[in-house]
Amino acid sequence: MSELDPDIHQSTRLRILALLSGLGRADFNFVRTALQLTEGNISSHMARLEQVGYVKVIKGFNGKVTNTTYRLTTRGRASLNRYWETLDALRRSARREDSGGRS
Amino acid sequence: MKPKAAAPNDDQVKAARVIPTWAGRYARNRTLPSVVFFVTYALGTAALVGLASAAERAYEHGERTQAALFASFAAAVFAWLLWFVFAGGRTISRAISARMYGKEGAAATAHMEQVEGQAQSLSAAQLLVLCCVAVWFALFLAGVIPSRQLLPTSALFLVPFLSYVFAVKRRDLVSPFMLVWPALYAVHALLLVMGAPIYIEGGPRGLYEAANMVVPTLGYGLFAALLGHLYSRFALHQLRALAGPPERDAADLA
Repeated sequence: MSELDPDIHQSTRLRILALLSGLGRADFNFVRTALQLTEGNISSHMARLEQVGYVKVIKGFNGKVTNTTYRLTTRGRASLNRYWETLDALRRSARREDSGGRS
Repeated sequence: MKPKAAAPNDDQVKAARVIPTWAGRYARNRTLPSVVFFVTYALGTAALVGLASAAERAYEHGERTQAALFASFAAAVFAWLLWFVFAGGRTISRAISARMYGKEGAAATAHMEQVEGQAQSLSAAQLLVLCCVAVWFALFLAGVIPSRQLLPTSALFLVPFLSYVFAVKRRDLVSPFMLVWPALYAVHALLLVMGAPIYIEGGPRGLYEAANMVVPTLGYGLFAALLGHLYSRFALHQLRALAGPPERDAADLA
């Protein structure tokens, strides 16, 4: 059985990817507002997710203020879907083992 | 030494599964631009009606210079309203909303992103409804449609048009609450046809009668947009509840 993707199987990164999977794009402020993360946490996790190709980071300007926008990449979406499938399979298998052990 | 990355517990996994749903609901219901649009348009219409009636009053009292001044202001407001509805309204509403949403941040669904920045051309449905409005207004001026029947007759083309726009054409782009607008419009029209005492009369030269069209067109639109906005607040509250308590920096860095 395949293992859970370590780049997704982390509480903050899972929430970030889940949030972006429901949206086309979200900016830094929205990620901070919705997930109640600190600036440092967002930056470090986004850097990691960008590094593995799951998130696209677009730096731009909103007037004179810098604005960073995030998008889930096709690869990121596919990996997240695979993560859910693997997690479901692991749970099913654990339930089977659990019921087998009891009988 | 760096702390080890925290794997999600069962509750966090459960929450993460529904985060995309609430994020999408939040983004679709960010209706502040529509609220700003309706309020600005309503204020512009009120200014236009006020200036036009002031010009008429001045003219009747023989103060022609004052009448001309009011009339030219009214013409300027009318021209600005036309520009606002067909060209600048969307840009202005977005700019104002961006300021209002500033601290909260920006989010859009994939569908919204696809159409952003695309030139909006008039669709066949929009052209058809514009023709209907022109014919409807010409019939009113010719005395064929009495003022009491203005709203019920306009409902014949506006209700199907608005329902088509919100339920079909822009279904993934606008708040589902916008459908409240044509629904209330239809109910209002039906009540009038059935003789319900909801027709507003009176005022100088029947000025208050304008409310019979303003309430369903602007009032119900504004009400629907406000419902959407309130729902976006609820969706954001749900998102924050799913995210759990605020985290401390560097607590779970991988």
